[in-house]
Amino acid sequence: MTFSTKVSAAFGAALIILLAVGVLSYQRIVEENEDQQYVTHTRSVLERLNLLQESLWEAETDQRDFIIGGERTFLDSYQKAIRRVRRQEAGLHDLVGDNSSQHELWSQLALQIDLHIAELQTAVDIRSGGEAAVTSVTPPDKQRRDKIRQLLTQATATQRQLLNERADRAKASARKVQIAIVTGDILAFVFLFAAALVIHHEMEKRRSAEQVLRESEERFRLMVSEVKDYAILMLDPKGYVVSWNAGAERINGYRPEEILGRHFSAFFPPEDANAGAPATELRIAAARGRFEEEGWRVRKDGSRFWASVVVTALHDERNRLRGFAKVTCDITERKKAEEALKHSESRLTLALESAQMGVWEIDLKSGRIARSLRNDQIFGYESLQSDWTQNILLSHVIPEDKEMVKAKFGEATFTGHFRIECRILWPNRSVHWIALRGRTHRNEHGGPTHMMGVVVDITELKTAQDDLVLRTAELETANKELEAFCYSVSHDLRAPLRAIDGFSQAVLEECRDRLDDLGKDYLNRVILAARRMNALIDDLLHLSRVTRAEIVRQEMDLTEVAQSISSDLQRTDPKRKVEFVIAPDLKAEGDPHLLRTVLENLMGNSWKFTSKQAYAVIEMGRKAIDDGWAFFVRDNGVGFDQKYVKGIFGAFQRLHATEFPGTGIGLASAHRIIQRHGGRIWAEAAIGRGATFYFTLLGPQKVAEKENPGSLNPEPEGMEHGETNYLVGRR
Amino acid sequence: MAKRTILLVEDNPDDETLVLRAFTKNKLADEVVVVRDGAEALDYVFARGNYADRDASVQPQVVLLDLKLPKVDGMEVLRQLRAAPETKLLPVVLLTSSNEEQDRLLGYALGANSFVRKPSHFIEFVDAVRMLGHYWLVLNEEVPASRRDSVRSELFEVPST
Repeated sequence: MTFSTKVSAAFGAALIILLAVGVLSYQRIVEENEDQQYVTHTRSVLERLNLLQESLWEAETDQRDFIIGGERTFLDSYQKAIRRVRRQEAGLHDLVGDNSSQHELWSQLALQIDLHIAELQTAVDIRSGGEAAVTSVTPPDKQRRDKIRQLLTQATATQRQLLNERADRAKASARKVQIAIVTGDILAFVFLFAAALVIHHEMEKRRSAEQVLRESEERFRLMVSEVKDYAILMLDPKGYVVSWNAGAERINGYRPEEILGRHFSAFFPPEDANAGAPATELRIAAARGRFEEEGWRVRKDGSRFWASVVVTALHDERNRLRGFAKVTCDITERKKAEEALKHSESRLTLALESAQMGVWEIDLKSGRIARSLRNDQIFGYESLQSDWTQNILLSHVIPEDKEMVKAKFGEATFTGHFRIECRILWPNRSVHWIALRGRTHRNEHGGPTHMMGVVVDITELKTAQDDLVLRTAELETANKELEAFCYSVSHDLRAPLRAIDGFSQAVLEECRDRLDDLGKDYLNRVILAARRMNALIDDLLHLSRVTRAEIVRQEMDLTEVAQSISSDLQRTDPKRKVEFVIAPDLKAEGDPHLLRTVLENLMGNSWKFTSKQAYAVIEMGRKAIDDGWAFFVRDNGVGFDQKYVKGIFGAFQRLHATEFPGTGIGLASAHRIIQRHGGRIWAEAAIGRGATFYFTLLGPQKVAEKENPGSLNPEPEGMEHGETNYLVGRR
Repeated sequence: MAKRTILLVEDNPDDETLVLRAFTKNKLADEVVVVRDGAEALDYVFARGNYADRDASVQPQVVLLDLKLPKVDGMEVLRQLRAAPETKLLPVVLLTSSNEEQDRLLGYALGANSFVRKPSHFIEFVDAVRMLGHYWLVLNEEVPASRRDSVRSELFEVPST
């Protein structure tokens, strides 16, 4: 039974009971009134009966007195009494005339009284005729008199009995009503009490339910306000911020007092806010109940973050829009990670594609191989084939390589990685070299689960490799021959020179007397020629060594080297006055031994070609050029004609035939060394104005930090500087 | 004191003549023994073949060894000298026309005592020979003869080719 049914029932019952009690009470009051009337009525009957009796007895007494005395007063009194009797009689008749139960009694009484009065009257009438008649007057009938008395008594008794009965009845009725009222009231009270109990109980229930609700709401509110990872805020229907939690403060940077009451467009980048994004957001949320988005949002300090936003419309029970709940999460890191992943994926794809690499993955449990299209293309198919197993893969390998491939796959499950080069047969029966490289992946127990890797067609590489091996072998042979030749030159060509020189000397010493001056001069020329040839051999061997030597690059200080060379040069001719101007801190990367040779050659040339200068200056420094830096060695010597510049770096090329010594190998060596360092060397000169030799140590593409990676030509461009036409000859 | 001799191993007669002339000019050629190839040099040192009569206990003060030799080349001669206990400590000066690094490296590695490039100019050449002879015949004290044979080969590390 529901609460309201219970309460209604209890109240209804109480009401009905009270109504019944009211009705009963009313009835009782009416009854009481009737009883009262009845009592009054009975009393007046009794009174009249009493008066009737008294009046009758008075009339009797007066009649007797009249009879006896004959006095008129008695007669009058008698008559008055009779009238009184009659009056009482009439009254009684009025009162009880309708009472049928006593009708007999009343008729009897009236008859007896009439008879009695008639008897009395007779006597009176007789007496009125004189005294004499007195004797004829008979006394009233004693029997009748008693009869009347008895009737009267009976009537009175009857009335009294009626009165008593009535009173008893009234008493019983009153009692019943009393009980009914008391019982009714008690019942009504019980029902009302029950209703009150139910109501109280219900109210208790509701109060505790409300308490629970209130506590739950409080907890919820606390939870929302303390959440740090999400900005949870409420907006009113127009988008103004009405609540703000800790997460919102952390993510957006506003303190609650700074943002409450402001419009939420403050969270949008200006361009989005101006484009109406906030309004759109609310419109969609209001229309669909929910709006979701990922996008840029702005913090208080203006910095941006990538946010995941959910806006939910809030409606009251009458479906009126009350506002919005907005939950924002900073997913910048996730976004970054996603983008990095995407980026790296696309890079990987690009790398794989540009390397023409196929990708494959072997599930070691099932033996199935997942492959990329490129993989199958490498195996000679145009399109991706259906499922492959390891056996299908192996079936492509030519028989000679099959065992090796099997063994390597087997090993790879233990070693974790492998690299296989093998030959495969294409469907068109052509043989191709492929390289498989991969890695074994393991589960948490260390058991191998799958292998992943790449495959490349290395047929061209292999062909090139074979060619290269062949070419290298040829080159090695040629090199060995060259070395043997050089060795032979250095030993065998020197021996005759030594003999020529030695015996010429012996002749000069021992046959001096027999030789004239001309003979001596000739012999001296022979000796000189032999010596020059020896120098030529030395230089040739040197050039050949430079060509063959391995370059060991390291950081070095060209300033130090140049200073050391300058003192060496000075020692060869301490009397010469030469000013060396060597820039400090000329750092370079190259082979120290070979670069020293370069500087020795260049500075040696300068030393040589300034020998006729009264005041010689030899400079070593560094200069900015178009694509980086160049070192230079400059002198104020005899210089040379720029038009001969192209030849100066060739072996045995000399611009100065006799006035300066030399073999024409120095610049060729320098050129070779610089070339082997990936640099270039060039010269600028003019006759009588000295010469400048420039060199770089790395190709332009390296010096210029890969600005111009296309240019691989190390040819010295400086040699083409034709506008410097004042440059003149030097060797 | 035994007679001081120099063993010159030289196949080129011109060089031989010039070296001998230089020794003569420097008055150092007490006895210069000349052999003309590597095999002959080894025969002389180990007293075998044409030199079987020779007293093997008397060894030259120094061997001037050319590198380019017929039959057995200079490096091989050096290697064999160093391998034999009796010549392990025999002073050997390598003479060469070239200044090739590889020759110098190998020569020293095989246990050469010195390495001299034959100068192209006779005057320098004479000077070089003079210094050589002076050094090996006059200045340098030889290995004690009494201990020479008792030197155990394992005391020295002899590189083998």
